[in-house]
Amino acid sequence: MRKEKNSFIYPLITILAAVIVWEIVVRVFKIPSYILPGPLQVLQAFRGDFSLIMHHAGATLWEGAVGIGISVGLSVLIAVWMDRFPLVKKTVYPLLVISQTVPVMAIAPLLIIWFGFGIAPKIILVVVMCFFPITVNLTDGFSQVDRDCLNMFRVWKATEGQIYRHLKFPCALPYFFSGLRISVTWMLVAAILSEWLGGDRGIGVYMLRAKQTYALDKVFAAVIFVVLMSLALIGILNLIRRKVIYWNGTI
Amino acid sequence: MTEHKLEVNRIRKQFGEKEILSDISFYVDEGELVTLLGPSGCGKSTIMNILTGILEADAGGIRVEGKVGYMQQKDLLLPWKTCMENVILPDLLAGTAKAEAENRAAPFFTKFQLEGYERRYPNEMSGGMRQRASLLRTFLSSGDVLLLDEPFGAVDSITRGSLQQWLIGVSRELGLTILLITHDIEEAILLSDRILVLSDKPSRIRDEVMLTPAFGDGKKEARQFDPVFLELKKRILEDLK
Ligand SMILES: Nc1ncnc2c1ncn2[C@@H]1O[C@H](COP(=O)(O)OP(=O)(O)OP(=O)(O)O)[C@@H](O)[C@H]1O
Ligand SMILES: [Mg+2]
Repeated sequence: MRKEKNSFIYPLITILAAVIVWEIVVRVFKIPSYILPGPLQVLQAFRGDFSLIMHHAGATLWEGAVGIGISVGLSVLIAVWMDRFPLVKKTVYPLLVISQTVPVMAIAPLLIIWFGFGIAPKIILVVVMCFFPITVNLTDGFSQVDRDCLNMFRVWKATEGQIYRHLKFPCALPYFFSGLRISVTWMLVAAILSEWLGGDRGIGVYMLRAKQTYALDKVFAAVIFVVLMSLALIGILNLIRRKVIYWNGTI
Repeated sequence: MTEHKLEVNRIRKQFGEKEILSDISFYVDEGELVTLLGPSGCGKSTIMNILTGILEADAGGIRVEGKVGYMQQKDLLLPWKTCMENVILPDLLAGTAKAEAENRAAPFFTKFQLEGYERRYPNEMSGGMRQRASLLRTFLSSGDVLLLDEPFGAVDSITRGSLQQWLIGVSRELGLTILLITHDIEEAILLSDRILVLSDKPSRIRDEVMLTPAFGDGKKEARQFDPVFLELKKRILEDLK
């Protein structure tokens, strides 16, 4: 725990130094704010637009949360399906890997053409980007379950459901959370990208409008806010992980 | 003649081209502690896996009366369950209500020297305690036949000594029927009523050592100081050559 806290300090100092250099550069070279606003100006923009940014952030978070929820459900279904039937795993797993090479930038506009400017294409894009890491990690987790322990459950005549409940799910939880962490960092990116391409609410929409009026200070304010939101989400996820995985040691 | 509790009749087992078990037959009677002693890799665990249905023999038959409890080489306690939750797990899986299973298990915590650790997790327990917890789980899940695969293989020698003494007491008190695996000759002589000495693979039964007649009626706890102990050790070492 201590080590983790200490390691925060180094990037924090680096960021702080970069911000100071940024402010100095902007002032010394008198860079106009439609090209690069200074950090203090960004902060002011954030203050001025606070409630508006919150309004848009709420929409983005909602899309992300629904998308992640669907991703988790879908991942559990697919991972269990592949775990139950080796043939399914042999067929589906490579397809999943291939699906990840399709550029997201290319599907995002298609989703808008198919599903309109509402919330649906945003949630779908979040799911497309987020379900893969969870599925792969969960599948790996299931395949790591101790053979002897599995045999023990068979000797006790446990049903498949009981095996998942008492053995496989707890075993796979650490893997599941590793996958979820990757997904959570991608979740906002996916939602914002989709909003950027069309919609009337969300941080992506706010950024697009700010950019179109050359209000770069607002764009920066939004970007920095998104970064902070991502960090907060990871922090919350770590807390949940610590609560859920309450035990130490392995079988 | 009374029925044996457990009977193995001319079983064979091959893994691929490699013949591991060739023609193994033995039995275990009620209340007996029989030991399978043999070099590492000769197929001792394989015999138990066949007895519990994890593996199938290529030929031959087995017969087991009632439900067996199986304790594998590793303690296999689940780290996310408390000691109590671990030992009642087989009962829960069989459909017994939690409260009922706990009531059944509770009186045995003293006998297995686990009292006070009911709500602790495995990583909070010592190696010896984990073995006893695993044994308790095996005992609770069995009718009265226990298959123990090197139950004390993973603990230090001091702990092993006290666990052996403890097992002698408990099995006498509860009238357990035990088939035990070990590759420790002294442990086999100390604990067993009979020792089946296995050869290296393809393994067969080399020798059957009857210990109760050899030591007379004396308690097992006193065996290690009996001169017969060394004689038997020598005989078994000869067998294993
Ligand atoms: N599922 C399996 N597939 C192929 N070979 C196996 C399998 N299980 C065991 N073997 C081989 O069979 C032999 C006997 O294995 P087993 O685990 O029964 O030995 P053991 O007598 O219990 O040894 P130890 O004392 O080291 O536990 C070993 O050579 C092992 O490599
Ligand atoms: Mg073995």
